[in-house]
Amino acid sequence: MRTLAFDTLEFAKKLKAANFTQDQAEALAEAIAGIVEERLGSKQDLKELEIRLEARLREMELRLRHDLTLRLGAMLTAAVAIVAAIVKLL
Amino acid sequence: MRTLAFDTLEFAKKLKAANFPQDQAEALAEAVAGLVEERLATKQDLKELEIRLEARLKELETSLRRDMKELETGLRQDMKELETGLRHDMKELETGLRRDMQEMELRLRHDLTLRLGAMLAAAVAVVAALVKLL
Repeated sequence: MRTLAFDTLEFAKKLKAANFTQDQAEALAEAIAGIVEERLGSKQDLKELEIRLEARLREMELRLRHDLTLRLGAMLTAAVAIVAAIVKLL
Repeated sequence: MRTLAFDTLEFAKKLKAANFPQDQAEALAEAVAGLVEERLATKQDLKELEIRLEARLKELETSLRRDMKELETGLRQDMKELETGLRHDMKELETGLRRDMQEMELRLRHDLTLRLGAMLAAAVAVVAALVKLL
């Protein structure tokens, strides 16, 4: 996956076509590849970040939903108990 | 932090090793450094963004949870008050009904006494009249 982020050979070939020497073209391609691979955020990095954040959001939604269900359930039970008590009193 | 994103010297050194002239290597290194520092998103930038968003999410969850808690407490309080109010109203209703029933009993008792008294008096009169005639 990583190696797809920057095509060193293609880059060097373009430089050679513009009359860079072989070793110049290769050195420049290597140097740029190093930066792209190690320093820069790639589309792949963004995709991975998005997936992590999506998962995080989904997890939070589930937890909140679970919590809400429990709370509403407890309140409903309490309301039913109150109504039952009142009906008994009448 | 920023200055660590790109090592200009290292970059220029590699180019010089491949027979770039000193000034070309340095200019290229500077130009690329400028791009990396000012334009491009680095992995470090992404990491920082993720940390900020994580913190923001955590904060959001905490505040939602607190709101839910408050809502629940408020509703429970309202239900409690409603129950107390209903109990109070029922008590008053009971007291009123008891008083009305008491009054009704008194009136009926009074009425019944008068009617029975009158009927008894009439019966006595009839018996006395019959005894006198026979």
